[in-house]
Amino acid sequence: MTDCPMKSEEQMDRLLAYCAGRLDADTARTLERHMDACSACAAFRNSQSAVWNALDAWETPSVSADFNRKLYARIDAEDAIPWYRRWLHGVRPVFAQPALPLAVAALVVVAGFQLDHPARVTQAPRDPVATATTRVSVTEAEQVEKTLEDLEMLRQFDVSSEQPSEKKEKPSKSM
Amino acid sequence: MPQGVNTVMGATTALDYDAQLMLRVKDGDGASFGLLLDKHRSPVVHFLYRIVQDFAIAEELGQEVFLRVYRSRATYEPTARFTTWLFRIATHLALNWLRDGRNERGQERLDEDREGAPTLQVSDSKPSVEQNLVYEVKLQEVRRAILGLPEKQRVAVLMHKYEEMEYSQIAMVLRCSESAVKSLLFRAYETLRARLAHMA
Repeated sequence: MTDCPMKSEEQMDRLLAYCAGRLDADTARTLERHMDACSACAAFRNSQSAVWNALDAWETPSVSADFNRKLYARIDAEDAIPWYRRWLHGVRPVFAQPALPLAVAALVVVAGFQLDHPARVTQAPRDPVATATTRVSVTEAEQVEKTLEDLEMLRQFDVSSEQPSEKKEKPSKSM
Repeated sequence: MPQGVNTVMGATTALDYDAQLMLRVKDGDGASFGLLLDKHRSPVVHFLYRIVQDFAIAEELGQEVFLRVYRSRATYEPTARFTTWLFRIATHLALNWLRDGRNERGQERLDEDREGAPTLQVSDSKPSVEQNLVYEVKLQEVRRAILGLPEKQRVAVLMHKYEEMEYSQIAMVLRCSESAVKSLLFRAYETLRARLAHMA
């Protein structure tokens, strides 16, 4: 071996595999020859082997004899539950989220309000731009209407004021 | 062998025996579920125990793992090795348990006697009181060192060391790349070397 496994993380996994006893015999022999000359790799092997041995010391208790019995009892109990209750059980975690029930409650309140006061809700303009536009157009229409009324009134006034003079003039014309 | 096995095997390179058993469970074969349970019960419970560090909780979570496997039988598809799927469920449950903060009592127990825990079968010859004490101290140090690792590093080390999983399989369980797993393991072992090297 020419490359030192300590030079890169990629190569270091070879050294880890060696310490775990997962290298094939040929590669392990090559690595051992390298470690005879490379103090960094030898030090790594020693400390890693210490960790490996320490972890080996962590033994675990045997699994309880009634593990299977308990599990099958749970499976039988679950199989006995009607499908819709199993479905509800599956859905329940979704509703266990605190935000979701609040959102649903808010929707129900809004829907109820809309059903109770349909006109008020539909008539109320929500967009401020649209509200302003509507207000402007209503004002303009009122102004135009008033102006037209004024003009009409003036026209009628003109007509009514012109009528007597015509009556006066007519005789003179006829004369 | 159930009908689906051949088609799935044609689609993927090879289907491991456990996945074949699981496909039989999917087809209603309860005995195959029993075989899977007998084979993987101990590795799963021991893996969970090393994460949560409470044997009663580990057995409870182990039951939940196999219950979920059984529940998912109808929708099971052998897209990965069976053990990858199994340990992904186990990891998910264990990390959720830790994140829920239900482990506080378990961590306190590290300072207490192993009350209620099943007795370990260490060796045939009876160890002396002193040997027991030394073993307990050593065990406490190892447990603390493992517990001190970040979640993902801890899970990666446990799968690499005790379950002898390959990088690719650990990557699939943790849903990350192989290079990320290597990086996790190097950092974890570096920390452990600093904490446990004196035990050589």
